[in-house]
Amino acid sequence: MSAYQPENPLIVQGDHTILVEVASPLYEEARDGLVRFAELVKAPEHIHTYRVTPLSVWNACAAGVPQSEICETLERFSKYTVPPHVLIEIRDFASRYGRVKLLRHPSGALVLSANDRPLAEEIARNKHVAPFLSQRLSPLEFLINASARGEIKQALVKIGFPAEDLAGYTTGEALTLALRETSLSGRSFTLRHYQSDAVGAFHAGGSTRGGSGVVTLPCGAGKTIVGMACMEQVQASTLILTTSVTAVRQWAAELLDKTTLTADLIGEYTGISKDVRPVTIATYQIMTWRSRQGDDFPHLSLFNERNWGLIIYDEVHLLPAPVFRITAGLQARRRLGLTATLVREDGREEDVFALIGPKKADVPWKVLEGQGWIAEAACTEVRLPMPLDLRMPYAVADDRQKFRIASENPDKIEVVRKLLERHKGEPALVIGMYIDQLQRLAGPLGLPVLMGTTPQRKRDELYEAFKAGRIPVLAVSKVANFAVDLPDASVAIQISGTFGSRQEEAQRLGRILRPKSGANQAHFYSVVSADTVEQDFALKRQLFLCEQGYGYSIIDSGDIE
Amino acid sequence: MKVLDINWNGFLGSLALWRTLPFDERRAFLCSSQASAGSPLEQHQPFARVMRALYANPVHEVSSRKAFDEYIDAHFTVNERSAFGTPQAARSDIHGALFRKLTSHSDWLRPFVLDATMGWEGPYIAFGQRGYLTTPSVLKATQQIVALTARDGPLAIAKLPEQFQGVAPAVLAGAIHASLRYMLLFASIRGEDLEPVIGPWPIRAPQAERAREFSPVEARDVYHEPFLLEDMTAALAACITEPFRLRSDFTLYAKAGKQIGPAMSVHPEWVTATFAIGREDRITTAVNFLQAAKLADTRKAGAGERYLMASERGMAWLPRQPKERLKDFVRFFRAPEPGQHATDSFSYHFLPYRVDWPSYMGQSPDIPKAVAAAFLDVPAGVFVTVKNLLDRNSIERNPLAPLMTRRGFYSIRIGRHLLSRPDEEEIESVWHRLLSEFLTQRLLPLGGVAVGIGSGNEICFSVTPVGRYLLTGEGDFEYGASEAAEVVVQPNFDVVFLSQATSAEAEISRFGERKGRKLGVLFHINKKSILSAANTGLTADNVMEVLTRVCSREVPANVEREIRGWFGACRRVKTRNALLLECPDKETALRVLAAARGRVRALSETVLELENTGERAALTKKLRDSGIFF
Repeated sequence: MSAYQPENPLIVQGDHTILVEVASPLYEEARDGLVRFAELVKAPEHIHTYRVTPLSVWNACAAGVPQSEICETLERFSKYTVPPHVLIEIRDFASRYGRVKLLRHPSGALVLSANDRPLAEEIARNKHVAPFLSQRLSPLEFLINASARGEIKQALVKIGFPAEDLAGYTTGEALTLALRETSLSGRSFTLRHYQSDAVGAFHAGGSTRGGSGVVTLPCGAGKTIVGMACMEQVQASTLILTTSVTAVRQWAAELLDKTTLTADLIGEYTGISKDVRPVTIATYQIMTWRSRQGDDFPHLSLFNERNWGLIIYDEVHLLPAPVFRITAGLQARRRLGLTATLVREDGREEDVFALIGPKKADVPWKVLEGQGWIAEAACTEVRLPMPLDLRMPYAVADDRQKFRIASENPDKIEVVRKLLERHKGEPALVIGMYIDQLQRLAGPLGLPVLMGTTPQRKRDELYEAFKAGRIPVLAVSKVANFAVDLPDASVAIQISGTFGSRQEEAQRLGRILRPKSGANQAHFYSVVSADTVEQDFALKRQLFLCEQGYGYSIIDSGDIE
Repeated sequence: MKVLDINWNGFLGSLALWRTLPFDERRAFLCSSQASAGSPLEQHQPFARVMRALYANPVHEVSSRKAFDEYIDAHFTVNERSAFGTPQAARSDIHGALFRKLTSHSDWLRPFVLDATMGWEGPYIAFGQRGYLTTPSVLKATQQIVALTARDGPLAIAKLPEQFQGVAPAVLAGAIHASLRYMLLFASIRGEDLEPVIGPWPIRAPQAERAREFSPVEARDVYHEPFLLEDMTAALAACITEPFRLRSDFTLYAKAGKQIGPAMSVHPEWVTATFAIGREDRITTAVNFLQAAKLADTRKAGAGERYLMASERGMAWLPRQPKERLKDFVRFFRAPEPGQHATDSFSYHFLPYRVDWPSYMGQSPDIPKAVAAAFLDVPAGVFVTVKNLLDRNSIERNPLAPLMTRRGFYSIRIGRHLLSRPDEEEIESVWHRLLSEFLTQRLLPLGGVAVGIGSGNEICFSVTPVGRYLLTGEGDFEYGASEAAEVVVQPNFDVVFLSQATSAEAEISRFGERKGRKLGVLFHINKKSILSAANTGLTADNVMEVLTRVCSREVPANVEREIRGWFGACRRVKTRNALLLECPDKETALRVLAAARGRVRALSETVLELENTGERAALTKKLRDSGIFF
């Protein structure tokens, strides 16, 4: 194809980024093809940006997508001629996948097999890989120690020849469990089609082609359910690693509610409790705790305390470095990563690929939103002026104080009141960074406040009351950032807070994305003092949310009816 | 080694050896100053010298007047040249006369071939020499070689024995000598195979054979952009943000290039290569034109350092609509302001360079009108080749043609070309060059032509409405709005180009931060880029007007809101010089106030301000008289 094809949606650029025009009639078809071999970078309203990387191509290869199909998709949907070097490089990336395989040797050790002699020689001479090769079995095969399985995979990814790991898994300690058709809370429960697809792709019928990998689903799409369904497939003891104690409790609650597991089979391994059971749920924080810098991490021994048949890494994009290291030694166990994004702030996507496994499923959130599986979110920034009496203190304050003065603008209380009035009857969260501010606001509005110092028992009571609808509005501090699973919240009002990170913002938004009855519409408000540094911070949030594809509007406080 | 000193008989013998050498070896041999050791040609030193002499001046490939001058300087003595009977005049004029005479097929070759008899050479035999056409057989062989090469073009010398099998080698050598001596033929080395050839001076296609009508061609890779205007816009915007410091010779420092560069559009490679318009040249040209148009001027600041700063006129020009800016600029070209300095390269005149027409030559022909007519002649919307334009505008449309009939000595400078009693070919060459340079230095940079590549890879062009406006000063044109741009502003402030749109790119570059080239995310609008734009005089309405006009989708509400907010936060403050008087105490301050009689005002009890610093001397005197000293 050489001529300009305006109706096509793709522009493939020389730097391997791909622009996708959403308004094109061929958009959906192109996106469905693209998502198999490219990573979504940003998705603002009109033009989405994807990127093809060696990892994304290897993920595609691992999923059985041939390179010819990748090139064909690009050529078919591109507005302009695809830069020839991009096609060449994609062919090159793809040709590297599967040239090296990891197989099981009858002795129990592993065999690294190259598909041709020059590659075998290159591997044998590579200073990163060679240390793991214990014996040359033939011109194309090397014996390696089973304990080096993860490290050699990391090294091979680094040199650009990712290994296809066909060495299989240990079965692990058997555990019988099944998903319920009706949850304990009395609700009918079945897997959604995309959840079933993800589970099928991960398990691969129990073959060596499956059993390790990452499932990417947007916030609110039910990643926990996918994890439980994978446990049902594996039928073995499972270690679940997640981000916080609250998340641990919610995993436990979900397992009890939707599987046949009983409480005595589920253990919590946190700073509060160290209970190792056939299903153990731990936090990353406890796994990486140590008394002093330079000491060992004592709780990493949990990985070897039982014969785990499956390890689930919740929010795998947050996996800390020590867990990566221990995971390198756990390659014989099935591993499932769950995440909303493969993009890591620390850029260690390669390690996720090498140690957890390739991407097994990725469903665009727009698809799920369109099918009603997650709520539509409308993001609104409400700007209000600084009160006259605070303008001078603000003007003469240093930057840090300025931010606080602007954030704690007392007129925000009235704005929140109006917003809550607008969404009367809808479960709402008011999220703030400053406890004082939350308490000042909670008083006049009569809101219960949940913060870091709130005892767990009290928290659970508040959650319960909120879920039951007895408390329609909850004021929460930063604890709301991670894994506060409040299924019925449909409105979030952020009254203060810096733009922390992409994940943090996504998590906050994720609190309100679960499907709603009726219009299935969620609202995310940020209340910001106009013409202040707070507005500058809000701009980062605005950019992030727009790049995620959410509609973003800006209104003045006076416009709230 | 002169061609007349060569033993052509021996040379023909050595050629057989030469022809056995591969091309690379031939080239290496010709490029080295001496025959390399071990080369089979080592033993043939005279031959080597001849070959290198011929290689030095490829007259059959570069048949310019300069090549002719060098050729006769290299191979002929003054006596030999004088024997052609030229008048006693300046050396260059002798050459000019020789050139006109000896490169003319109709006046020189044809009469020789048809009519020459023994004794023809008499008038041309140099003093103290003898004739070359020594026998009838030499004369006949010379006529045959001249006739053959005049018909077929230059002939490999090695082929001569084969072509003239019945001719004795000595006669053939004599014929070569004679033809070279009387400049019937010229010798050189042919570039494509490094073969020594002999042939008449190349002549241009006869007038009758040239295309008189325009033949439309299909153009590909069409390029059309008023890049000079856009470069000037980018440079002016950059120098408003931060004035360019100038070197002592008034040239720019490299930093200015870095400031302007990101906002400049990128030409297709073929355009840059064909028209030799590199980035540095574009920056220099843009800055020079800014000064010529008085949109920017040089001012001294600080410790005598010179800066290029936007003038008030420039500040007013920049926020105008692109079409209005272009129109203004084109108008300046058509009607330069009095007193404008006209230099060769950057004159603000219609023609790219000046014509010095001496008063004793009478009234100057209307060259600008003739140039305009040549281009207006091209049918609208049609691409024609540059060659087609030049062929059509031959001698009868040449405003300089009357020079051909002028008698006596005269000299006219047209740009870089000095014409002294030029012949027809020279006059035509200057005229054609003027047309070519008008195309490349005026029409192309102003978007007056769209250029492209024809099916035979020849350069072609079409005159655009902007070009017609420049040529006539009348009519109207569309600029900016007519371009079918696929430009999208995203809610995350990215500006994405789904198709190339150079004028949209130029407009957005004034308020967007450049992120890419050609296609994709080319700009990101942010607070910094908007504040820079505000500093150049743009307003929120200007920016929104551009975005609304060039974008194919609605501008997101959050983007508009932020843009307006950022502009709204801008304030402009004025600065002025003042003199502060710091008094040691309140009483002194009161004495100063009293003595100054309204010239100073109190900023505090002890600090006073003299607003008009020009009154400093008067105040100093007044205070001194009161016993208060500075």
